[in-house]
Amino acid sequence: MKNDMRVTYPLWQMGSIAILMVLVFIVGSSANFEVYDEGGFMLTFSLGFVKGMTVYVFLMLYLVTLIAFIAKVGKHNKRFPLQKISLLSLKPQEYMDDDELYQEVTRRATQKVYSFFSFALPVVAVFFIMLPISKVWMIISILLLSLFQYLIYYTTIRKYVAED
Amino acid sequence: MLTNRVRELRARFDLTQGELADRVGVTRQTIVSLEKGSYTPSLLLAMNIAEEFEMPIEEIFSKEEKK
Repeated sequence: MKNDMRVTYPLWQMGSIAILMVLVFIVGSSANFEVYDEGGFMLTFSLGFVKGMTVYVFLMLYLVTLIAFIAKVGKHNKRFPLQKISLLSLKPQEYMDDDELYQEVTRRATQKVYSFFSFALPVVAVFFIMLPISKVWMIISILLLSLFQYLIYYTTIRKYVAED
Repeated sequence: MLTNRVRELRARFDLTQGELADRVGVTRQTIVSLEKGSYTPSLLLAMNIAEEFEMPIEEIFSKEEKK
């Protein structure tokens, strides 16, 4: 299973989400949204040098990650023609159903993720309702949930595929 | 818990994990996990393995009481 990108797929997702979280935080906290009484709105960003450079660096990092990810997917598809990863498919590409062990492992991992969301989503929803949380932090919270989802999935899968 | 003699029999039959996996139609990782005792196989896989080693299933797989 070494080099099978379906195993490391959640790590790529987690990396991308982490970069997105930083971008959302910086850009979101630098934005000013004004709605005029006579209609229309104005969205302005005041980033400054440090924040501007940080956004630039993280955008570049995101781009590099994306290119590396696409290259790795191409390599995986050449190496494992029967277990190709499709970037256009709606099915989560980290699912593995090669045989009964993998079906069982995928079932256990998705079950853990389901349990996590059935607990975390209501908790987050209550926080959003009760506390004056800005949209930026709402988006960051959703991204954080998504990051945990992949972390749970990866750690569960890893227990079995690391036994080589 | 289910224990098994797959590792011992595979050595006796001079098969690699990959070869046994191919013969019984699973991935090598499944044989690895089976031998380590971290995975309980389906009845069908257990039967396929027994058939491969030409032995009754109960001589390969046995139930071990939890301590």
